Amino acid sequence: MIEGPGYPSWRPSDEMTAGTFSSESPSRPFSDPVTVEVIRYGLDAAAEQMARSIERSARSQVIREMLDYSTAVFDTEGGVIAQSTRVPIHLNSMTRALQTILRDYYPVEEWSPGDIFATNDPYSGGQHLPDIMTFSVVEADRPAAIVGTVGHHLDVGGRAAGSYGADATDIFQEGFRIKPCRVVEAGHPSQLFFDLLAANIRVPDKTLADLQAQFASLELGRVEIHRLLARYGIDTFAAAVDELVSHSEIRMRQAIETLPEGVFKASDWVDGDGLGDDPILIAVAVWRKGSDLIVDFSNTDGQTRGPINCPLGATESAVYFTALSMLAPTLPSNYGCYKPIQVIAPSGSIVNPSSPAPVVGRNVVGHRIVNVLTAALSDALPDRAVAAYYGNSNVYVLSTTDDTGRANVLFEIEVGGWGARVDRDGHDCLSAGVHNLMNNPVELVEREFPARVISYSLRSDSGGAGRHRGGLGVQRVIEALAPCEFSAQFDRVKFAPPGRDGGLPGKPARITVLAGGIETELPGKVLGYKLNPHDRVVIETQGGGGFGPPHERELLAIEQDVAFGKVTERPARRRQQASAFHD
Amino acid sequence: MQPPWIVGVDIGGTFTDLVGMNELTGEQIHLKVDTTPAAPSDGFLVALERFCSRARVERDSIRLIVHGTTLVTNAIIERRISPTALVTTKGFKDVLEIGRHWRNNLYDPLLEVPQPIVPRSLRLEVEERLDAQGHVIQHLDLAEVDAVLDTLEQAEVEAVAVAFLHSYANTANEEEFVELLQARFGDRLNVCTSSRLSQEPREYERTATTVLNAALMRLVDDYLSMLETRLGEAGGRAALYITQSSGGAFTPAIARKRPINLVQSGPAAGVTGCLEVGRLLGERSLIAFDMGGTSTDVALIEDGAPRLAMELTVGEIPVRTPSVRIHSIGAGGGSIAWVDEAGALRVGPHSAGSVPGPACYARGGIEPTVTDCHLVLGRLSDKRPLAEFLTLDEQLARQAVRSHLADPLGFSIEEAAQGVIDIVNAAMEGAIRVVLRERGDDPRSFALLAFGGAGPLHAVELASRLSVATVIVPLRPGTLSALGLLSSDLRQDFSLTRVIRASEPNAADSLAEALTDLEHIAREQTAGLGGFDWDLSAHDVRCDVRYVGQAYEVTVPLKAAKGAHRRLQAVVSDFHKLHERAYAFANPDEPCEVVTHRLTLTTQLVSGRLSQTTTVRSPAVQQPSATTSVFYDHRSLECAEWARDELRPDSAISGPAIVHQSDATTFIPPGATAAVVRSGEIRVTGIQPT
Repeated sequence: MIEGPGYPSWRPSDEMTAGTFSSESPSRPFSDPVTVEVIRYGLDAAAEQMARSIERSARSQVIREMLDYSTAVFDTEGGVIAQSTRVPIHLNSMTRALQTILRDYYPVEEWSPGDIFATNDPYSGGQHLPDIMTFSVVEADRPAAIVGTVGHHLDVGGRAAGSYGADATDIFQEGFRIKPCRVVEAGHPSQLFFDLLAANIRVPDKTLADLQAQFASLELGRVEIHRLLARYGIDTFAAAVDELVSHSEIRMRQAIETLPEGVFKASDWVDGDGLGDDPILIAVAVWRKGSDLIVDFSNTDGQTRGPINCPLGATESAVYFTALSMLAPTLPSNYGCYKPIQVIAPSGSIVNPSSPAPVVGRNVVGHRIVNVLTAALSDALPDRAVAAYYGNSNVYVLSTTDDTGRANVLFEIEVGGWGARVDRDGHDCLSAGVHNLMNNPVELVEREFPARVISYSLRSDSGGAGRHRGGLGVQRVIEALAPCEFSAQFDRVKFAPPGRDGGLPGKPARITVLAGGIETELPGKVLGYKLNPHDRVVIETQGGGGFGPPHERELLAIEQDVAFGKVTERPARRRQQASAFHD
Repeated sequence: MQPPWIVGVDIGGTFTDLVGMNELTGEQIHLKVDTTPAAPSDGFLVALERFCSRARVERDSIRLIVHGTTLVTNAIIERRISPTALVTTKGFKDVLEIGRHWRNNLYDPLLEVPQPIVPRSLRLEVEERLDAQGHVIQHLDLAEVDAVLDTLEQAEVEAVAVAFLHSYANTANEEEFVELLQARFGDRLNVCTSSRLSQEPREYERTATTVLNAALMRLVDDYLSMLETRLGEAGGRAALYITQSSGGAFTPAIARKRPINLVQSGPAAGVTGCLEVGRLLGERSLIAFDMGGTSTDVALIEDGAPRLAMELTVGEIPVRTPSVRIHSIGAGGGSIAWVDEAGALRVGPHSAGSVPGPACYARGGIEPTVTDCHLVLGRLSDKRPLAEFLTLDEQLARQAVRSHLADPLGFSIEEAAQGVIDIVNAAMEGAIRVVLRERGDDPRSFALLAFGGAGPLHAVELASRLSVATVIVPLRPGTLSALGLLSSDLRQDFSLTRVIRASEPNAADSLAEALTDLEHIAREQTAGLGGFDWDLSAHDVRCDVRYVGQAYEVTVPLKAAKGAHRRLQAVVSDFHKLHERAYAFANPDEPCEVVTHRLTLTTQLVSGRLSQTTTVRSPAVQQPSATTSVFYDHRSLECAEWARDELRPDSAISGPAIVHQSDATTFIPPGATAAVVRSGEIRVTGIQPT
């Protein structure tokens, strides 16, 4: 047991009774639908309890207020069988990392119940370096399941505070990279590993505390799965898991078969990689082959020098999320849902980069995949069609050093407007797509960071006009109270979220700095822009695309937009006057 | 001599329940009438009239009425609230609409979210600003205030909410604004400031709470005035109290100022009822399990006190108010079972509700529900009407189960029905485990107390799944909330946020000072509440403590200690212990901080505790009234049927058995044994963990 102050400790739970495990199934056959459903509830409850445990004991604001973490249960081959619903991009992503660990590093026979394995390596199935995944096995007389957690850590080192190096040109600049490794062995944390980690990151106390929360969550997951094993026996448990997965696969195939024949294509441009000005093409073609869904990114551009490359695990998550959302939003989500989906992502492309391409801003592309695939599937499913939402994780980081030399980092992700739907407006300022986050309360931000939020408001006129209006983005003005550095990973600054069926695009994002009476517009991707006390940053996020021709919008809806100040520009007023005249 | 009767009236969605108790004789009267949603006081008065005639007394024989109501919750969900304006710090009028960004459904592209309570055109801003420490950065801009007041003159609103940034740290600007507002409007507008409701940071939650409170003031005032008038008629002179979300009662005067505290009034009284039953039986840790037609409410009682939360959610809006933590699970007797396109057996989330209701109600429902399955299995019977008036049709239940479940699955009707019950129990087991896990509790240290119409049918099997050893079924599961009202304490909660790092050199003194200030606040605010003996020395004080940087706090009860330093030490060491218990780890080397200081004052409304001993007076039977056949664990069993009214204290029953009464049915599976305890409750033991 290691004894460093603040280091994670590890103690197997005494709740884990040395229960007897019968291999006999109880009175029902293995794949009896009642037992399967009962075990499904048990698995879901285990994943949810793991999530509660992390949520309430984590330290950093990223996890504690923004809920940027997820928990899951896997079968022994690494396929996800139950997951807590927090962040879509995390969900099936853990499967690829776990399968990589099992295949290339540590086969499941080498796992023992007191072990914890960890990785954050995008080239071993991970996402980006701040997302540290941890796994632990649950055994009866043989391995029965694996429990896993992923948490976004405030800082994992690298060239920029918050590990968002917008000008990184390889992964080595992005932070401390953890190849899959055993960080706890038989209950003993690896002193070497934690020493190395602590020495390479900016706020080790918070990161280590959050890792501790992840470990405690794994232990809880093990206790809960153990209970199911003791109750049902490992054979029944395993058979039920197989049945759950094949059930979801059948349902997903049934949903895919409702798609019309034909190839549906859509494409869109990413502003740039932060180093150059060249736009990057994200192009998708989607069709069904029997009951398989083929999602082809062959015409998508190659990987970039700047850090917006999207590792295959993240690309797959974005595809799975969109397919579930458009085809089967209520399906119990496990890897059976993903089996019928084939993703064609050429190696070396921005949706499947090769090491050591930098990846920290992978959600720029992850969100754009959702936008283009939603557009393509909307062509196939016109009665569920949706215009583009804001389409980016608008990450920004403020960092400063206090009097004692300690780094203080404020990390925030701003969302924007939803795309208008076929029969209704898009939501103003609400999480969409592959993330689902909470903002930081201004009252907490100001208590912990030397900055003042001057305003935080809906961004008028940012929603795309249409029969149904796109949702509004948000505007936030922040004043530095001490010398700070500002970094950002924005996109859709040049290419606005498109509308649909004649709807107009939403407003693109914008970042402006006001310093000494001078207004400077910054690019979407910023690294370490120096702010002096009283300098202000103005952040404006994307509105969603509109749906249908604007002249078809109901007069009442226009009047309300104007009364609420959500639309102030002349075209809407003119249209209102024209309509009034007609009536 | 004071009038002998005290009365609890709980207005729920369907029924208005009344329990009356004679303090001299201990006699109790329980009755149910229909709720009258359009004018809830009508049903209240009908119940009261019926009580008077049954007790053969006049209105003036009632000393005290304690009231619980769903009025406020329904008003929020249906938006029957006052047009309200919101005044915020410049730059923050949209906080109410932006919320926290988070969506509660990951996948649904057609997701809807509730509209903000105050439309954007009625959200006004004034120039003023505090910093996070409460220092005034900018004083109120009086010219702007005038402009805002002019706008309010024009706006057709009945209420104004005021929520300035960081007002929890310094109330000066909010108070000054309100003075100006009242100087202009007098009593024409209901006014509510955020700092008077909640002295805690997080602007969205505080603002949302303030807005709702302001918007409800008129409704609650009108309702209470009407009620007070009608109760005063016909010689009525009972004092009226209303139960809050915390389970404590308060006066109508305070209810008018803090209507938001009524959000969970009825369900909280149910938990108080459980507490009272637990007290009678000496059970200090209880899972309160209230299963109804469409949903199931779960709350925890730990060491003789309900688990509280400082926030709850109503209609997706956060409400910051001390409340009994009640978790609602979307499964009940009306939950519909179905087989999906790929052959999986699912239960819910759809419910047949009460219309058309389960197939066996014969009201047009054709889909099989949990209630239909109980009927098929023999736990309910077509010979015993549900809730005294509803005769069940077993053939319709069997038909629904056969055509929708048994045939598609290739099961017998009984196997399919049992499968549905097993799945519902698994769903509830999972939900209860998640509830327990929030604080790291072990179900084995609890007893399960089942009430509501369907609770006692599921309780013993559910207890078995949770490894809970004891199940308690109260004498009258259907009116437990109204009974709970009678045992409510009068209660006032106060809080003060002042962050104190335990490692600071003067931390002990700061803590002492904060507590003195908190007592001062309590003293000041209770000064106007005459007629009660607020024992300030016997108050309950707690501190919310966390590791520096953590999001959530652990509430640490303050123990008596000699001297400020010892007290601080005790808080810190208790914090580490409680944290370890809740989250499976503690780091004693980590710095921690006290964040919010809480003080609760309670005083008894009813002297002495309720006792039910006199209510069981029927002649004893030692033989079951009948036997019936019940399908259990894949086979048919002969099962004894007992009538609850005929059981006397010390009756012992071995499972399999069914105990029926007008408002609930208790199922005792084989192996378990039930005993009727002296005060009338059924206590089931011998429950084997599965």
